[in-house]
Amino acid sequence: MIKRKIYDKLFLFFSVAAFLVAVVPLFSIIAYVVSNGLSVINLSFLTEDPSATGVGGGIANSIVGSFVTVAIASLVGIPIGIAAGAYISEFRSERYSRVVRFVSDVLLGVPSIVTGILVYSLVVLSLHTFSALAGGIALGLIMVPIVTITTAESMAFVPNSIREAAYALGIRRIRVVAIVISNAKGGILSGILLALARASGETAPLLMTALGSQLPFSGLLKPVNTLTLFIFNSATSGNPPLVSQAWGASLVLLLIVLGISLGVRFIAKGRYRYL
Amino acid sequence: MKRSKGISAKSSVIAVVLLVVVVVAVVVLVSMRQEQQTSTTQTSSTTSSMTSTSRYMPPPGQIVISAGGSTFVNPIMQVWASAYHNLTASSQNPVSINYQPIGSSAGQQGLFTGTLDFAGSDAPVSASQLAQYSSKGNLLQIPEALGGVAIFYNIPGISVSLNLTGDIIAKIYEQKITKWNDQAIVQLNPSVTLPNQTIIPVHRSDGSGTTYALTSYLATQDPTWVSTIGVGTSVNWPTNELAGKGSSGVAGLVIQNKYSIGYADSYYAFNNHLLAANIRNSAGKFVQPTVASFVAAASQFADVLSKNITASIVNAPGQDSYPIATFTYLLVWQNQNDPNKGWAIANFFKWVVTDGQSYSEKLYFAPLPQNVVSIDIQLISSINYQGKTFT
Amino acid sequence: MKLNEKYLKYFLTAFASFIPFLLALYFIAIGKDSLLAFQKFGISFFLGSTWNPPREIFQVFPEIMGTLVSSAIALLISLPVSIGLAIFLSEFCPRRFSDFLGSIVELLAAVPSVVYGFWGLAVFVPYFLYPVENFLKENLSFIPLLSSNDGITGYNMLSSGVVLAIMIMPIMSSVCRESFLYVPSSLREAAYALGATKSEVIRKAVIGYAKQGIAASVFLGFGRALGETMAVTMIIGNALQFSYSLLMPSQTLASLIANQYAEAIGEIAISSVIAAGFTLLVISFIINFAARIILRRMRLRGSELI
Repeated sequence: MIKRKIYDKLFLFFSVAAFLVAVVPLFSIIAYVVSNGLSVINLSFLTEDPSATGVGGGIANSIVGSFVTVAIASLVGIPIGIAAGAYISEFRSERYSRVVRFVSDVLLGVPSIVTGILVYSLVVLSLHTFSALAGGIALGLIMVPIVTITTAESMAFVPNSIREAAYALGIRRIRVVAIVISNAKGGILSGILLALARASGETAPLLMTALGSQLPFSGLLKPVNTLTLFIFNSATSGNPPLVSQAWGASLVLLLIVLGISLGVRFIAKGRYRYL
Repeated sequence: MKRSKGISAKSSVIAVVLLVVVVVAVVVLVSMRQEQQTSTTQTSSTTSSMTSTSRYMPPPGQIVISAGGSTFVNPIMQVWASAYHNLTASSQNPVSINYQPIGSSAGQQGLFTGTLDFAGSDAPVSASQLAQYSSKGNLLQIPEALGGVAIFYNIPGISVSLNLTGDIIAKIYEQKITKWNDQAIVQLNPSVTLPNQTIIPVHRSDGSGTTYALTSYLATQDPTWVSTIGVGTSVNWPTNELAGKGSSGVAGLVIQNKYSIGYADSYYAFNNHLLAANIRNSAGKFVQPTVASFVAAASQFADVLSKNITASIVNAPGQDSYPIATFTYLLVWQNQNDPNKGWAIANFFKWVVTDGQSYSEKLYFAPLPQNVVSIDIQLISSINYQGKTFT
Repeated sequence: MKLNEKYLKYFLTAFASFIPFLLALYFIAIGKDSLLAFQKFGISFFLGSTWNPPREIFQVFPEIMGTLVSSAIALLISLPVSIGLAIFLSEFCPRRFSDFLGSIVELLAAVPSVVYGFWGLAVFVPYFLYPVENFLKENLSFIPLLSSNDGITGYNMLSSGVVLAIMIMPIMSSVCRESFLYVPSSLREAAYALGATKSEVIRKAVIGYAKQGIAASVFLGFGRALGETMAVTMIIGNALQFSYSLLMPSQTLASLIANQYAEAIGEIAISSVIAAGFTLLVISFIINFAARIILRRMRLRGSELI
């Protein structure tokens, strides 16, 4: 009996210890990013382009670059994702639909740097330039399976009674699909946001597609910088002023990504946490 | 009721998608208009310039150049790019140059695959590479800065510059010398108490002209070097050594790791407050990497350079010469595909090798010797678009 | 009306077909560019240990091992911690706090990997892991896994495994927690009624019932860790070697690509970097494929997305 009591205590101890081991590093990351980043961020840091000497200046071009590449990615990822998700959900009785669903699951697991290689050899080498466009396409391909799966899942959650009611009223199928989509809007929206958060935080595929730039954004067919590229390049430089700028950029990125994720949480109320 | 809820719900999804579409459309339009501007005016002015002279003048409009390569030359290249942008900002052709420090090898590859408009490289392109891409025409290699490879280290408690020889550096990287208090190092530094700590050598993980300069020097100092590690932009490093991406990656690792040693352009050492070793030159003197010692080294090679502009200048004779001095080169195709870019590149290059040299010393580069400048200007004037030159 | 219906179906099918097309594209486009390397090196591309650009020999055995070993270390650390955390949140913590804490941990899954890498590079490795590893090296170096004949730096296989563990912990623990929450309360009550103590209830009833969820979290975490690039590149030390010691700098397939993609000059070098990407693609495909098949069989209620 005493042995069992001790077991109980051991279990409590083990789980509390695991909790601490898990939570301390995670909070340490947030704490370091906030405390080191906060002192760097001011208006000129956010609105100026990098200075030539690498000291002083800001990250405006990286913010714009992140925004542009993610916008292009949305253009690629969202329409394809929603249409494919609608197909999976509304034609789920078909064998092909299950194939598509399975393949999107598999695509979700493709390492992002492999996507970078694909876009490098298909887009960068054929356009003969690193570009915002190539970076955006790479991020878009990463978004496709996320949007597809969340759309399919949230449309599948729409009760069949709605579909049946619509058919009973003699509404055309295209309208029925539209009605189902509109009933699943929360889930679809949060899937989109989730994909946006993932795309905003990607670095690896951008190394070989968007390349990076010191210049203000100057066109879709030119290399661009993004927040993530800026952080990687500055963080590994060891040069103190650049490293502290990297903390500032990390804080900006963290605010964006966590902001989007909070949005997902708010809209989806706890679904789609594992993508 | 269901229906009205459905419509408002749908519209919010549509609104998000529309917003994204609109933003992207605006961006696309703006950038298309820019390109259109240059391309429409381009055709008209090409015809007019054809009749008058064989020198090309671009139509008004901004010109953006994508370049990349050597991290060695990056500090000064960024200053040049921004100074040149300011210089041309109010002219009818403002020129923006985006130089990315991705490594000399990556720069060369970018040039060969056509993804970069020009490249910076500290190592001349090998003959076999040139042959492989000979269908693309003649590749010009234009020395634009004179610098030196500093050997720096992070030993807590030591705040003086150590004396080292090429032989010792070679043996450290070959791991034949593994402790800081090795007899060979102690003998050269009698006044310093060296710790009994393992040396952590750091090298480049990517292909680099800095590696080329260092290894071609070490090959002159250590007879076994060529067979053990070799000479080149990427070499056969012992596989258990730490490696950083880019010069800044190496400097970063040395800062992070006590008792480590690394190499990079002297800017990265001094800018990060790392101590650079005094290296023994062929006259037996220990010399710091300074602008003066780079100039002294280059001046020993005036004749050689006039015959072969890509000749190596390591291990220079002379009392004051720094033994690991090196030129770094601008690489560009002699025949340009885009006349506007060609015009901007040629004029930027000409400015770099002349007026731009005044920025050198602040960034630990030495101004180019006069005879090199005149060779450069000749090379630059041969850059052309379908026979029409730019400078 | 019939016609319209047909068009809708064609329209949606066309978009949906992009997805299998994309998967095929990955294999065909990347496979085609890797062909040269596979032809030249054959099976030795996977089994040899030399990556030597000057001599044009490219082999990725150390990187394959690096990928698998660093991910395995991450799992080994993350799995018990995730289960422990999930037990704490679902069994010991009051429900109000548990939801709040659970959400915060999940939120951290969204932190970009480059930020994890930066924190690891600048804070975690130098101030925490390096002293710990130095201690291990001084006292336990008779164990081959911790041996080191010279100084260690903190930038090595073990460190990147630990950072990967921290990165995959949020997602693993929330999958575990969710599967614990779905354990029917009748099961718990029945166990208590039989006189089981809390620890016995957790071990037998909860963990026993949620085995599938735990298995799911393992697959998910492993898949994440395999392809992670930025954090690993910043921490693993980028040495092109295979070493039995976890305290030596190493390389993974993903970090090899990040370091070498742009510097590769000449057809064979470029093809070899792409072939490394193809290898990574195949490894992650196999893991994902297996995971999906297994998970399909034991799909969890309410979390169809895993």
